[in-house]
Amino acid sequence: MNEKDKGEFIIPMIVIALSILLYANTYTFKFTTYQKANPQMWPRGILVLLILTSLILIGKMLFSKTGGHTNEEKRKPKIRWHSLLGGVLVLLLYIFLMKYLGYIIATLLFTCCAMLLLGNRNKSQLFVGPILVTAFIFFVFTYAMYVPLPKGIWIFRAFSLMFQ
Amino acid sequence: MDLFWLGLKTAVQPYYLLMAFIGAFLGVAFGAIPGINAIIGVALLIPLTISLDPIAAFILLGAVYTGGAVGGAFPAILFKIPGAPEAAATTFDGYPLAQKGQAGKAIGMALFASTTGGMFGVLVLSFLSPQLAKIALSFSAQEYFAFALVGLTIIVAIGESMLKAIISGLLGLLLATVGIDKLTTAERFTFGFKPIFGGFEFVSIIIGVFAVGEVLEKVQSQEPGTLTTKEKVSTKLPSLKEVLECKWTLLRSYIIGTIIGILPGVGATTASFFGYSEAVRFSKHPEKFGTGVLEGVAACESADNAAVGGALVPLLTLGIPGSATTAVMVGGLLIHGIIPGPLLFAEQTKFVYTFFSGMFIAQITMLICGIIGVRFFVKILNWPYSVLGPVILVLCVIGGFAMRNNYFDMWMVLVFGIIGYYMNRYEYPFAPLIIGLVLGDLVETSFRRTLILQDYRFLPIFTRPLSGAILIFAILALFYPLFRKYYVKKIIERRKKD
Repeated sequence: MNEKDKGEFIIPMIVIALSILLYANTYTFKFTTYQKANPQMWPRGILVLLILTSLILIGKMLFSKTGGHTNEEKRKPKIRWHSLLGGVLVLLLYIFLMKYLGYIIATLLFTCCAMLLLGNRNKSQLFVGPILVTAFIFFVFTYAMYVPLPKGIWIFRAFSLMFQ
Repeated sequence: MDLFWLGLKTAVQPYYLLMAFIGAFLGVAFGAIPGINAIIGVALLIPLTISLDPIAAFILLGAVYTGGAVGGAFPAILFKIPGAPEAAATTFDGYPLAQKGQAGKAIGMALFASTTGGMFGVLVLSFLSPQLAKIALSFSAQEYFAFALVGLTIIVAIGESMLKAIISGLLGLLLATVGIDKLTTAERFTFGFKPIFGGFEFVSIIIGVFAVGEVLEKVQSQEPGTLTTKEKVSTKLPSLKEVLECKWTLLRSYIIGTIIGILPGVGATTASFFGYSEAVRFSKHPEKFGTGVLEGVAACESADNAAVGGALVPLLTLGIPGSATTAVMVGGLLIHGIIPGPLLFAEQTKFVYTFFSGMFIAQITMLICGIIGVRFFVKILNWPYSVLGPVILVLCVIGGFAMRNNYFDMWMVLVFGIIGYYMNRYEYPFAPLIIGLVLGDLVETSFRRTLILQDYRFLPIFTRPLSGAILIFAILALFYPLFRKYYVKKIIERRKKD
């Protein structure tokens, strides 16, 4: 097991666990008509197939020499967790803060952080890039597509309204 | 024919011409950048089409699709890096031509072959689709179930691991069941959470898995992702003599590309490889292929773009996407309230024929964009990913929000982005997930309706002549990808040996 990429087993195992939970959940579906072609039938069929396919995949990976990979050369390098979690965290904060700070401030901050995360250390690009990106998308959505973007709350809302 | 001319009259209006230009330009740009392809391009642009009228929106998306098919040829010729999978075969002769200092000529032939191939595909689409749609109007739930199954057989053709592709497709089918059941109004997998009573927002899932997942992969791998060339590239269209030398290769590839495009599960990548291998087979000088001959570029690029028109045939006539990009395009149709299928030809005649004409015009705009913009597209390849990545992420999040002005959809983009990242990491193809999601409702509803109509008996699905024949086709379609994988592998091995 150690020799094989443990990560390869995670997805089918999560799929099996989720499928069992969701299968149990199908007993809570409330309906009155259609005895056989009921709303449970189709999802249950899919869930059973998901469990079976995942089990076959796990079995295939356990008994194959390459740990499920078709080619040893194609094995991807280890996940850089700090970079990945950094990326997810920045995106998560962006979505969370947009509701409060509004599109403009949240996007300026996010673009700058994302550029840094992607290894950009060019000061002029870090300064000009976020302003251009924020302005371009703002004008495309607000003035060309007439889609109102989040304005935020309190003084941030007042700031956003200055550009409307 | 009258309807086609009527559509052409509408499509040549400045507004629609502008959309065709913008779409072709963006499509070529998306195709040219390795890591961003036509699928991501179409997914990112769907939210931007909300305020456009349906015709303009679909001309734009169609032009992105068609432009993306040719854009991939630029890095394939200049750097031996296909910008899109369908441009892989272009490297065989395109790159050797560039090494001989004939990059402009190779790009010129790629543009010419793509444009004419695309036009051929669109003409077939225009004349074949209405006839197919007429037949499809007589289909019952059984036939729709059988056709949806044919559509689902695409799943086994995608990705290297069939099991992973099936899991991905089943997850798509499962996601399609979330929300209120249409037949019984029962709540399914909603856990009392109101924003998903109507099901998941289709576009948020597409944007998440395709675009956010890709950027997260780049963030964690810290790939620099830039390509540079010192050569000044300018497009040189082929001379009449060169075109005439390739005439049979071009014609053969047009036909191969269109037929392969129509078949479910076999898209532009197979078409370009198939077109190339047949060009080698029929050539009087097969030994010259791979050393840098224009015929090699013409063979794969014409088949590649002819497949675009072909892939739209099952989407528009039956509502069944023939490829991953057309599956994503369904999202673009649905947000404008247009449901693809045979009724589209009866109820939205103007839309359909203007779209056909628009796609025809998009081929010309693509050629113009390719000729004029080649230097710009080469420069795009030099842009650092640290600038492109954040732009894509902001577009994804705002695009998700713009669909329903709903914060929940932004979270969905993030959640499906993380799912997309892991799927990409462990080589679970995305396309089956989207195809399962698109076809899930149709296949389930038609299957359950059939059961109710047939008093819960399965046999009539197989014994009814048309649905039985379609199911046999589904079985053939299921096994064809296995044969195809073997065939493409053989071609690649032969090329490596040569």
